Amino acid sequence: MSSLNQERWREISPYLDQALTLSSPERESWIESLRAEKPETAAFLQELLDEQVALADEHFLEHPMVQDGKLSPPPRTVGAYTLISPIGRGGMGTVWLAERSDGRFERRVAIKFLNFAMERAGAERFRREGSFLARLAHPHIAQMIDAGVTPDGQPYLVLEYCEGEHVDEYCDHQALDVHARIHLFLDILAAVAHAHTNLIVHRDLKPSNVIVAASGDVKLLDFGIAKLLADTETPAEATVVTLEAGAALTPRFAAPEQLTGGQITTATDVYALGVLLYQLLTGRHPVGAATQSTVELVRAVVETEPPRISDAVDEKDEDAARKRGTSPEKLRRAVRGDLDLIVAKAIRKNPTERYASVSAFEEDLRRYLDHQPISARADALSYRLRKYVRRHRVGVAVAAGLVLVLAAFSMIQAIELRRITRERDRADRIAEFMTGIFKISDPNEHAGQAVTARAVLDKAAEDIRNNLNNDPELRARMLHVMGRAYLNLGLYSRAEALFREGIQASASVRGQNSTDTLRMTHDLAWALLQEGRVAEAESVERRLLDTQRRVLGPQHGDTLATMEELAFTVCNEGKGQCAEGIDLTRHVLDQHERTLGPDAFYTLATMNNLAIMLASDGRVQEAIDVQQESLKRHLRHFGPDNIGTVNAMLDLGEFQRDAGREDDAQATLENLLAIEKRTFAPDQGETAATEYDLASVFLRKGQTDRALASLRAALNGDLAPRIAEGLPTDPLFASLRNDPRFRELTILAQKRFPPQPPLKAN
Amino acid sequence: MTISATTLVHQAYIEMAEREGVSFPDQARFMGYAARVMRGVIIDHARSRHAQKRGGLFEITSLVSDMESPADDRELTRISEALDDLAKSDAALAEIVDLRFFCGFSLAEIAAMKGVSERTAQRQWEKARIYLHRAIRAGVES
Repeated sequence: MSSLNQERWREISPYLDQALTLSSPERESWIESLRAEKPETAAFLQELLDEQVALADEHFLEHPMVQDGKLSPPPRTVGAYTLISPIGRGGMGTVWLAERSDGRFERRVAIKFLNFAMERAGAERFRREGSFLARLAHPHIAQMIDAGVTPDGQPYLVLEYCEGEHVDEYCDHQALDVHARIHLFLDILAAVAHAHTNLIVHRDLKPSNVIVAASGDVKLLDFGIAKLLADTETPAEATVVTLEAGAALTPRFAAPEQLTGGQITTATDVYALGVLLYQLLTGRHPVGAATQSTVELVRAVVETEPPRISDAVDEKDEDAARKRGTSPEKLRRAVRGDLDLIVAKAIRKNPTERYASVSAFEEDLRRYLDHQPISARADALSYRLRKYVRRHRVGVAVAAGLVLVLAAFSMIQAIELRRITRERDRADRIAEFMTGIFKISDPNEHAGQAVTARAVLDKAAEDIRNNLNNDPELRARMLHVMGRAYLNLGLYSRAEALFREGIQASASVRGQNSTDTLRMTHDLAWALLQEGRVAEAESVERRLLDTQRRVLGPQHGDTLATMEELAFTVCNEGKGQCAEGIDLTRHVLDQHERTLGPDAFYTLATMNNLAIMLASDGRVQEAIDVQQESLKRHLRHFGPDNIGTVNAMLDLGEFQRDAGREDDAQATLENLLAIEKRTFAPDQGETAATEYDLASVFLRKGQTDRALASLRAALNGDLAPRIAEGLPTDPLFASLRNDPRFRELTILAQKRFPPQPPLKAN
Repeated sequence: MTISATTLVHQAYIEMAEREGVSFPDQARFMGYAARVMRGVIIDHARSRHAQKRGGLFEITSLVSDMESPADDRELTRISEALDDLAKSDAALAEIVDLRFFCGFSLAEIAAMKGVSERTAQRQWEKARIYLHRAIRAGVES
């Protein structure tokens, strides 16, 4: 069927008119004569007339969209109010300016008609809940005055009328700078905090719900209305309400839990406030462009880690910067650091990781304005800490093979034990115990079920607890070994329980200050730290350090190990104690240099830790200096073709990148890559890690093609699965997320590194 | 696709009120304009519902409404686009569809409103339907 262009239509139009005015027989003979004259026109006309028959058969357009909704002005009075003029239309309904009909109040009000009709039962509840909301009074909250339903079932709300602009527009028109925007935002936080103490969650905070008057006065609109709508819904009328309540939460502004059906709490508002602050500061929305489809949008909200606000500031967006009274470069610097962390903490995907309350959010912003350390910094440090763990502890890999290695380790320990004690029956018991562990991995014993590392460990732990009671010394020792096995599997709370039990057992057998008891205490602190119970870890470590200083002496290796761990713990707390952590580490480094020598393995490891800690504290330049010294020693002692040297170079490259010295970082990493290509097998993990870092450097330099090439090389190599899995949300590559070539690479990553089922603690 | 007719009228009214300085020499021209606005409101609803459907998030089950139509959201959007095209070469035809299909006026009412014979209104309506049917079906098949 040929399509109908305008020209063709204009041509055929008069013929069609003619044909339609003629009766059937007249028409036939007329077309016949036309065919002789203009065969093409006649043929087309016939085609259109055939179409008329077809469309009549399918009743095309015969049922009007509106049966009896003839256009006429809407009613002019509602309850005690007279409508004056319409002032807006939103997802939930239309809004009118109105005044009291009886002239009792001078004040003008806004009347919001909600987009749905209501049955009698629902109407009663709607009025009741509306009057509850009407009790919420705060200078920055638009007062709800009344809620009702018109006789024909149209629900409406009578609200304080607020004149002004949406908060984002207001800030832009006034060209408010970052600090002025934060001050304004604090007023918003105060209002939300007040509502939260009255147990009212807004659920739909967004720029259009925050009005700023010309005087600078902030008013929040629609408090509790989303909830009002959701609650009024009953199964019988689960109708338009669902749509409207849904439409009321624009996916773009909804928190992940609102889109996944999770629980709506005050944390939901914290998220929305975080998104609002993100927008006010950068002019960008954390989940990206508004043009995405709903599916993409939902995925972005629920899954994608948004870029830091300093990364969201567009270098080329002079306009956005001008509206904030500055240049793009200065704007980026102004929001980098503390504000990055504060906003990131407010918009965490997991509600429990956000600020615990609006007041805590407010507190951090005030601290930022007062140049005091902020609480959100702890999050960033634990990120570094994770990196430290990854690199310097046994990997948290999850594989049955690892358990076998650990079991073998237990066996060695057991043999050692036997050698020391020379107790024949104990050896037998150990043998029995180990057999017990391995029985579970015997397919005959465990028919049909996949044996997991976890199951083997759980069986072993149970055996230790139940079957070694008459040998407390062995029991204590095995508890320690098994605790470490859990630790290495990332099952920290289980590890903690075993360590606590082991410490008790060990203290009663060998004494509180025995080396074994103290080492187990050291491991306990580590487990606590991993669980995020930083304060507890710190107090355990401080007590342990006291004991070790007293019992073992300040230069003992175990004492130094505890010091180094305490250093990380206090730094992690983020209360400005990084200085103490750095001091402790420097002390350890001094000791190592003196007793072990400047190029010893532990000395160099401590140097690396010091550099990581300096970088965590934002002292990236010092970190680079330390790392460069470390690299020099590595080269001197081990030469370039050594795994330690390679790791030192990799770290140096990362520090240089983080310091914004992309050229240096590129030189370091390219140099490293050359070494790796010469020395290593092509599938060595370090090579992939280097390519990955190099990709991030190229991206910072704006060399997208090279970045993508390096990234591909990393993914084709033996990249750590954890890094590969994190690729789609890695903030380093945030700016690539809309690039189809990047998406292709994330698919490659998923294929090459399928997600492992995580081991979960009970 | 369902929305309450009250809502529809409210929204159409507001859309018109928001455009300042629009005045109409006569009732017919006012109605023509109003009908176009009305179509816009309906299409907006259709689009937003369509968008939500794609997201799979929101579902509308039954309805408290005095307005129902068998038309599919996508088809509505296509009709609207075709109408815009038609309006460029033959505004009167497009207007008839707005009034008849989107606002529910009878052909007799429309004829009276526009000061033409019912027969003419009927012919224009048929012609517009042919145009739209062809535009839409061609769009689907191509």
